[in-house]
Amino acid sequence: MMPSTTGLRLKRVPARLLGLLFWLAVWQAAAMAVGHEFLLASPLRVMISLLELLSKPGTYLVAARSTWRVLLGFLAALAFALALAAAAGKWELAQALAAPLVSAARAVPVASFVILAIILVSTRWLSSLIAFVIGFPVIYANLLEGLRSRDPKLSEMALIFNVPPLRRLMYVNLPQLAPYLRAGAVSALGLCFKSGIAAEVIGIPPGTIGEKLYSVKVNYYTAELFAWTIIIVLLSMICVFSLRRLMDLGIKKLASR
Amino acid sequence: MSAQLGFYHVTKRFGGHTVFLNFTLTLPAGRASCLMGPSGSGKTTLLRMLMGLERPDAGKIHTIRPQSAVFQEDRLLEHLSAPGNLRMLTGRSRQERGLRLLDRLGLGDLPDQPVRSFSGGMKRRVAIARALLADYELLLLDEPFKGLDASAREQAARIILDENAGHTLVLVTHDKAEADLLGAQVFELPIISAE
Amino acid sequence: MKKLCSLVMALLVLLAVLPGLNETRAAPLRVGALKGPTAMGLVKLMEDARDSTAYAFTLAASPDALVPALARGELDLACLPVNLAAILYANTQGALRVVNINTLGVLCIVERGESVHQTADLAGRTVYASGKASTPEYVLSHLLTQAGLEDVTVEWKAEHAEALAALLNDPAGLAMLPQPFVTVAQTRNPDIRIALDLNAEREALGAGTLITGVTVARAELIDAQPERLAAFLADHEASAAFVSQNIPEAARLIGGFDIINEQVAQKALPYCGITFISGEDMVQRLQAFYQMLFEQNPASTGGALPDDAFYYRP
Repeated sequence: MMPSTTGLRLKRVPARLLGLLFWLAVWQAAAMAVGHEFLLASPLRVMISLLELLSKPGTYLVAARSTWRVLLGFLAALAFALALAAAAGKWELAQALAAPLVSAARAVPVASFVILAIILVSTRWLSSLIAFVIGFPVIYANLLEGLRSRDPKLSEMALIFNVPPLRRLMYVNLPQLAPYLRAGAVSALGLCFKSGIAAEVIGIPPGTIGEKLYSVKVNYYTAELFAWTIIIVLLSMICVFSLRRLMDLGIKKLASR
Repeated sequence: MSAQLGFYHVTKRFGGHTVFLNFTLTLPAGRASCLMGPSGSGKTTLLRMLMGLERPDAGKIHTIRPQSAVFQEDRLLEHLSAPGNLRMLTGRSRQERGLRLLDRLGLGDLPDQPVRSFSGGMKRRVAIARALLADYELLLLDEPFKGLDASAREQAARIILDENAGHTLVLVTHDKAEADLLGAQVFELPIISAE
Repeated sequence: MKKLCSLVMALLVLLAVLPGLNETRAAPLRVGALKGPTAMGLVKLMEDARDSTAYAFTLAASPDALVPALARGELDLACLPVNLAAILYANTQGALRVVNINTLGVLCIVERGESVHQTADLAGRTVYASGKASTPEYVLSHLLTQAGLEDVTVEWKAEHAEALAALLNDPAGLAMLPQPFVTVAQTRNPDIRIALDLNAEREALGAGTLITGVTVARAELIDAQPERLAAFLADHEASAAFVSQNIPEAARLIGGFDIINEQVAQKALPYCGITFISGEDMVQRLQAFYQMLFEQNPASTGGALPDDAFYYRP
């Protein structure tokens, strides 16, 4: 058995658990130092609050509503980014026109978008719109990079063999783009969640997680605030995991054409 | 009268180096021709000009389409299997001929393995099978037997001649033996000294 | 000689200690208030206290700055929204007590027309409002229930300015806004009219006083220095009375302390519900109000009705 040069060699699962326990301990210590549950809730109180939330059917309805709206924005971002990248890949002009749009979407702070959006659209579409605006530049940028990284030799080969467009897409281009699309989509989904929920806290659409966060914050129910945050993180993780699996499945199918 | 396949007063420069100067050569239709020259003599460039991937700096090219090719590199879809690479040309419904070709080339037992795991010689044979599968009037081959041992070369050459059946074939190589295997008429390329 | 020395020593020790004693007694009472009607009643006191070290005032734009300070004991007194006082009482295990009511109802329904003159006119309308999960929500909800109105749509906005913007975008819209924000809005949009004063509407329905702001004090302070608290209450009462009766002067002070603009303060002061109620009167009114809040949503008063120990009786 070769000794590791950096000291303790830990297996993956116990190492992660150790990390989690360490930060839980830090959290507990910090909460005790602050001394007031409503300023910094302790892990125990948060757990209790979380279990209480999970026992109410209303929680699931609210969670589903917010998740669905974020996913809608994400799917729109995916579709738009794919279309934009396809155009940019074909026509230089398209890429040039898209560039300032994408730069603006990336540079403008989320809060500015939200404040603008509140004026323009009803709160029902707010989180979807924000998720869309935040998500598509990330996916587009990754796709663009993927397009640039394509092997020109394979493109030449497909040209000489007169491969029809659909087969060119499925056999030559998509498999090369797939890792970039996967990275971009997974990245974007996490951002869509964060920004979509943040938008909900500002716009407080009824029956959403953002509205809950707002209400809970105004009344200093800090334990519930943490509990809802945990729910958001869990939802985001589940969605990202599912997306990864879906995309990997798609990539596998491409490889067995 | 339609022009004959070939190069007409072609000049081609790469950087400061003139590879061809006022080069004219016509190639016989329906037969196998070989453009012969040592490495670096620009023979791949001639092939690329016939494919339309390069333009001469002066002069004209007359080429025939549709085309098929075995490139200097294999240019396979590495994530796909051998039959998968062929399906790119034929689609799922007309795989029969491709599978038979693979079989004749000795690759019949590996229907599912991605070609990235193949040896160099095996990849070459997949490239040859793909080239023969296409619908073409002009077949372009750039050192097609690279990486194949003697018996594999003979087998491949026989299959090419079988499947090609009278279409125009242009071979580019530095090895006369390859030209002989395909029964190609050899045209030696002029060598321009570096300027 | 020895006696003289010990006398001198004793004097010296006394001289050394005395200033220290003075200082602890003279440590200023730290008072926090929100920039709004709850602070307006204090401005005379704040002005007068500029030169003395009896009080140190902190004005904050939102409760988030005051609440942690109160909890950590960095503030002795604070003027807070009425429901927040109860929530903090519940969350700090009784470390705070309410000592007076400083602001009565300031909520209004406004519109840019003449369609609403009584609560019943709200039927079937849409109201843009701010103050979700807080007193305004419960007050409105309670009022609508008492008046038997079930088809009023309320669209909640996170900020007063948003609710106002929604009102301006919708010619037939109504908004529920607090003073002095209503007056601010009216200076820029003269066609905004106060349709309903919710305080009056509630009293018409027999629903008791609408309370907006109270003053809380740390229980430690009340127990250790009751005379200082009594002094503060007297000062606060005098200041509130002054502000109510000397509007131009009070408006100048309010502008000076950057609470709101002086001209707006001039117009808004009569509507800001500034008052001073303490003792048994305070207890009765607060208990009734907290009861109403609690029935709407137990979470609004911290999960339970504040018990008797919450109320300061001099």
